[in-house]
Amino acid sequence: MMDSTVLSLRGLSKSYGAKRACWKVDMDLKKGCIHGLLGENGAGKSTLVKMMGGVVRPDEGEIAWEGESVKIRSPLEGRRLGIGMVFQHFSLFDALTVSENVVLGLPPDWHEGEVDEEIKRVSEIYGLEVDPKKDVYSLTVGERQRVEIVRCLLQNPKLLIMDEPTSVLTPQEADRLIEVLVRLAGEGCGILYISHRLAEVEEMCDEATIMRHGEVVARVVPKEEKAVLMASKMMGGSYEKRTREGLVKWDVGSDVVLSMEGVNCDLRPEYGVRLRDVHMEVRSGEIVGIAGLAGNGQDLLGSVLSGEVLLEEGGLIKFFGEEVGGIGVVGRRRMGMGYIPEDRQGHSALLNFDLVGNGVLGSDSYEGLWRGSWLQKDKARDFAEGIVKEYDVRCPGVDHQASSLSGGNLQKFVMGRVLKQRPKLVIAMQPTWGLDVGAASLIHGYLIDLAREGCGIILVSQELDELMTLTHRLGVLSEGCMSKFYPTGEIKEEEVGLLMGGLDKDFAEEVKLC
Amino acid sequence: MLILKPREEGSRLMLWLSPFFAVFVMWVFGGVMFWVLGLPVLEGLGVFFLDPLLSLRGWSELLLKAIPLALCGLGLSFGFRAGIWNIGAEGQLLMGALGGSVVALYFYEVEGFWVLVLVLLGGVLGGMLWGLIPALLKTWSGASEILTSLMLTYVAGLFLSAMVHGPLRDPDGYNFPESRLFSDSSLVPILWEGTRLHWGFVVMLVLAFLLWLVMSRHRLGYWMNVCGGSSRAALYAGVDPKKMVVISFLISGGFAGLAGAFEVSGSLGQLVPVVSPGYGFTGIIVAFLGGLHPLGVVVGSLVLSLTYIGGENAQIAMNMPSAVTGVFQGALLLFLLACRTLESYRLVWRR
Repeated sequence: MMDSTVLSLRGLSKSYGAKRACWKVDMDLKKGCIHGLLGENGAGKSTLVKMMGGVVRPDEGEIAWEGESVKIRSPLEGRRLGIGMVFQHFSLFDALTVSENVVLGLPPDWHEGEVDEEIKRVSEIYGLEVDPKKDVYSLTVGERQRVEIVRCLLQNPKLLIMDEPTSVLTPQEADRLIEVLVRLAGEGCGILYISHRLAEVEEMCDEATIMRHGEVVARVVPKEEKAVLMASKMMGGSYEKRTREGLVKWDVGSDVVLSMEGVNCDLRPEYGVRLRDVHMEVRSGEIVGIAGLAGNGQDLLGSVLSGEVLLEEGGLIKFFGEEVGGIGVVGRRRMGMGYIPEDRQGHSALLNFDLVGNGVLGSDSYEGLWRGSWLQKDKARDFAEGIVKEYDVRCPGVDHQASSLSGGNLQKFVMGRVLKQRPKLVIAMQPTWGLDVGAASLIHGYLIDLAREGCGIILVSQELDELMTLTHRLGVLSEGCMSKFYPTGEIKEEEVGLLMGGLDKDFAEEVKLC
Repeated sequence: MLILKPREEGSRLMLWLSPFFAVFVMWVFGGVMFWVLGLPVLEGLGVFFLDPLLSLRGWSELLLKAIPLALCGLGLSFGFRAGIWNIGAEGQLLMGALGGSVVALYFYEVEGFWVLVLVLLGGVLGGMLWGLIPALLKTWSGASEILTSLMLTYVAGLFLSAMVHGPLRDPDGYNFPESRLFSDSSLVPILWEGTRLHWGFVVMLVLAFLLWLVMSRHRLGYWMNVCGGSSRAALYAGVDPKKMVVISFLISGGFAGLAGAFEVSGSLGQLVPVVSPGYGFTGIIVAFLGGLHPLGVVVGSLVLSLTYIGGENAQIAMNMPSAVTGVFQGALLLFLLACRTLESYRLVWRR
């Protein structure tokens, strides 16, 4: 067995300040073997991978490449050894063509002409369709990822590292990717596959390592291990999945809280995608889900719904029957619309503000924070302390900066701030993005309670699981077009996946119409 | 090896200490510079930074020069908090001086306290209008306010010069490019008998206090901070960024204009071609040295005022070139920016 080991790690550790990102990690990656790396967000997966690729230097521990101890000081050295990496966030230049991008990542003795040929050859072999002459900005996310993979393959890697590759793909694209990986492994390439999606790991990985809080907690053979068991190891034993059936059902009211009719909005290039003829309706007590891959117009949809962007190109947004398309974000908030943007770092919160200042941000409909134009510091302080107490925000104190809070606690704070204003509608954009399971579950709980009290909720998310569990109705946003809304119980995940790629038949016709 | 490690949270202690570090490093740097130039190090530093503090006259001059520096720094710190970079306070100061002078010369023969008030308001208005130009260029066409405000400084300087050489020249002044000496009703009363220090100093302190109130308690100050934090957060809070640009230029322009009016109606008593030795530019250093906090700006203005007076001293006593003042000021800004790294990073020794 030893001779087939490509890369082995012994006691690899890395700390950031007092925080241990990785602690004494051992791991062996073998030729022709797909090795899964599982863990929640923040379990240390990315740090570990960056150490393998030479992006981050370990504090302690040893890395051995084909049995020999090595120090990987830079990504270039990693590539020379034969390590290819595809990150979650792509490292491509939008303004360059595919082949120009590929050349940039290759050793200097390559020339663009031969690269074109090579790209074609490799992409044909593996069924990774890529046109070398195309500009990168015109490519879809899936295509960009293919470019990255082709770039790696041109250097004949002995180990391919994929960091959460399917999180940006439709289920169909993901299936194709998995085929390619299986094939590569069959040819003897070692593959490290990082994911927090259990089903994938179960399906394709020969072995898997589970990390939690920076440490390896288990090594398993996924095909023999039950998914639930792996999940509970990932979460530290306390995993109890919220299921649709487990939810106490509540009645959706008859009042229409919000409706959008034929909304068009084009703010390119500021927002990458334009909204085309969007229709939507939310009733009181209803959770309406909007699925879709990132970058399909969610940003702009959030801005248009919240009033950060005013409607100018036609269409109606009505709040309890009243037209609000021309009312700004402050006005809409005072009417009872709550908004939780996706980005906590500089949109819904400011990291260099203390919690008192962050409590004031966007709290326009909370009475008493301002007297005229003057801030009532005592009231603002009480308000922030109230949020911290009621919403279980773990923090050193309201005088500390938001940067000292973990992502989950900051999101709880933002959520609490919005909920304390007693909204009648909440627009939540990816509210659990990047949170650990505990915090995510708490956020879900708040949303459910809110809906039960009669508040309408729009939940925009990339996590199908989340949408399938929580929502009453579900639509898909693709290239700025909204699909029809389907009762969540009556649509399958695969069908949603088709809609995401714009592949559904009648949806395709809808797209043509708009 | 010394390395920088990011802090989880900005250090408030370092926020306070970094200006002191910077001043200290500036001294060390100055000492080395004197040594390289072959000048006596301790004597040089003494003449520069100590001698002005040994006489009452020195103190009065120190406080006098601090008035325009502090006013410029105060106005600028407001916009800087929002990430709006008015680099042209010097030009706004000159237009303020011009505006104040026009009022003073128009009411040359009128008496009454209100004349002085009008002179000062004329200065504020001049600075505001000049500041409005880059603000509107920015909001209408997105032109970088850094460039336009800086370039307009030179326009203002030439315009003022044209006025002094032309319409505002003293008819009985033997063709010297100077205005008439202002009449008494346009002059700022002296605060400290026997020196040139005038009531502008008290006005500056009051304004600093008011600005502090606005910055820490008023919605406008909160909005400015939010804008400075992130433009998306500003959108979230419903702040109109264009309105913020205009307001911040009106405030910094108005403060600089007032500084200009105080120069002509306080220290100079007439309009001359060279009103300011770069107070508006030095005001930028003052704003940063003071940590963009009104109280800090007042203290910072005293430090920079000292470099001006020390520079004059050194020219007289040791024949140093006048450029030494600028060298010290520039070095101070550089060291300050470097020291501020310590607010968000800590130094750690690693083998």
